[in-house]
Amino acid sequence: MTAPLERVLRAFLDDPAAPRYGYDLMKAASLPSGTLYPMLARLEGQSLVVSAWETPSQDGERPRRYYRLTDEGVQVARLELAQLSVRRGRAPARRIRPAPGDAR
Amino acid sequence: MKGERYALRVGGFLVTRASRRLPTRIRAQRHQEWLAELPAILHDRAAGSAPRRLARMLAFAADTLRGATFGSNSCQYQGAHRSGTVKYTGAVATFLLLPLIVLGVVLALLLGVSVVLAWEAWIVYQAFHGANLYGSLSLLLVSVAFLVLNVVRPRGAGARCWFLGNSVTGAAQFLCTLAQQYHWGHPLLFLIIDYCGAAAFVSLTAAAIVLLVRSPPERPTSGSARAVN
Repeated sequence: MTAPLERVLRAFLDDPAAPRYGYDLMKAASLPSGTLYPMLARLEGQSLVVSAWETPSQDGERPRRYYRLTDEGVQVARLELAQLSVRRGRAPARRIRPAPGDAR
Repeated sequence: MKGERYALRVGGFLVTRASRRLPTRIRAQRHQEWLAELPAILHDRAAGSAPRRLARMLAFAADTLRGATFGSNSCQYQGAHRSGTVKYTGAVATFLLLPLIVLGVVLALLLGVSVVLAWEAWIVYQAFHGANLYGSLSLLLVSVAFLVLNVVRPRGAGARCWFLGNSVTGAAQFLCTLAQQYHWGHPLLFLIIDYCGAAAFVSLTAAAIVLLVRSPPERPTSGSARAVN
């Protein structure tokens, strides 16, 4: 799992039921639009995210597209993030550099 | 906000360009979605001042262009329509941009080295009749020796030390010159700052030389050629 994907999933999981629009996710995950939207498209293609257009409350505003994790998406995201935490817990604190000549 | 309509038009232009690179089936939807985000970003008071919001909105629009180009190149937009064209565009961009970037970096390095050497030479020239002549001359020689060593055995840490030393000295001397010009504070304080800068330069340059001399020669390993995903 890439770091941007992890951030997006965490942003979704903050409130899985709440629909989020792109700019909101960008701010929550600190990602640029060029990274976020292809990722959302991919997640939507995998049926982990669904989107819906919502009409604005004020006149003159354009309808915005809101994204939400599906039930399967919530499960997969939680599982992936949990596995990531376990992997990080197992990883050594820092890499040990071999001394010169060790590889001989 | 002043000029909002014009800013939105520029953003809309970028977004339209980006959406044209997308697959036909998602093009219109994505275009509508991005267009709807532009005024929302521009009116987002939490994002800060108006210029900041404007910059953010333009960055958003410009980055959709980047995402649409490279995203569809790596099949991130589900289908990668026009993949041949996009790959070709990416290859051409890389082909044109890479030499320019390399040339820019080389020119910047050469300019930086020339400025540093000219600065050292200027100090020597100015201090020709003063007591600092030998000190400045030594610094110049150390700098030249370091440059030669760095060319023979290039190492990142050494270069960083050397540039840090030069920056510290430069900052200290600049501060002292300003203080003398405008009669700030006690002269002794700035003299101490000046000497501290010189001491930092000498110690960091010495550290850089030690790092260069002690670093083992670089050997290509079999693992180094492995591709990284």
